[in-house]
Amino acid sequence: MALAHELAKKFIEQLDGLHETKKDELTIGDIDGLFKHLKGQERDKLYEGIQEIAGKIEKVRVEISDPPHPDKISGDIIPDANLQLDAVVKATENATNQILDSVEKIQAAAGALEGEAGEKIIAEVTKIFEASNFQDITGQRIRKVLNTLVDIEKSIKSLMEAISGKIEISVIDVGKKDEDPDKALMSGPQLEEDKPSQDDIDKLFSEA
Amino acid sequence: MPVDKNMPILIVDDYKTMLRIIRNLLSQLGFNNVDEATDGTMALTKLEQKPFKMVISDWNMEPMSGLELLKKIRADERFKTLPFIMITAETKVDNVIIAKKEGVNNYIVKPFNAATLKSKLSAVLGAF
Repeated sequence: MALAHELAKKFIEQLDGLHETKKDELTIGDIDGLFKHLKGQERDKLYEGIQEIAGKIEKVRVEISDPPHPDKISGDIIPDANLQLDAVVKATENATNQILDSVEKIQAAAGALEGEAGEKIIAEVTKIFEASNFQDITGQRIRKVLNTLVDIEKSIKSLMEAISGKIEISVIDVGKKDEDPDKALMSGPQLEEDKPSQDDIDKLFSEA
Repeated sequence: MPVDKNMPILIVDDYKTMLRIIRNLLSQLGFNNVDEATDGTMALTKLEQKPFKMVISDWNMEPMSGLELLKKIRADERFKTLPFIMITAETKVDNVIIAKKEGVNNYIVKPFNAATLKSKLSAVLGAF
């Protein structure tokens, strides 16, 4: 509808222009020629638009017809992701331990210093210990992701078995929430913007 | 009564770096008689072997969570009043409420600093 309106508008504009030029010598043939010319232009535009849409459909068709096989997802892709994440946890743990090794040595040496210098060093060393909390929080966040990946892997395996007819659809494991209420309380660290402060927790604790 | 800084303290966490951090911060506060456990079962075994005066535990551990460890400790008449502080990244309202209901003495949120640790220990043991 919009195209037809656009076409009509252009036709009138260009007809006005043609009339200005040709005046009384404007013929039916001129008008017909104008109309055919515009229709041709619109047809080209329409054709380009359709070509673009066809290209996108073709791309999606190819992606749908050749996705990673579910066996590859559960057999390779997810276990590989698990290994990578596990490696991250181990690497940060090793690095943190190395840092703490050095920091403890600095702390011991600072303890032997008298006066303000020793105290200043120990104060900074304490900050390093406090900052090293990060490794625990990072590890817990990664563990959360790993658990999610394990649930996804289980769901894919169950779906594959259901599709192949090995199990009933009704027993597909879609990573149901743990029935144990205590386990349900272990959700890991919250995101920074949602996390309450120690003061918030103290208030809640005192009121509980 | 002054706080006995030689009191035996049991710290429980499945991350060894966290045990190291807590041990160091306790040492800076003057508490050097510290033992470690990396899970709840180990913690319960150690409680049978030594008369600890305080437990500081993480929550998020498997197979036995810090909450389950707390419940088992409180279920034992010998440890009913044993001071227990939870140091954890679990910060939802339900967590705090249930921990208190099960008898936790104080609740520290990770990441924490030395001042917070001192403040919460003082709240449980008395000023030092």
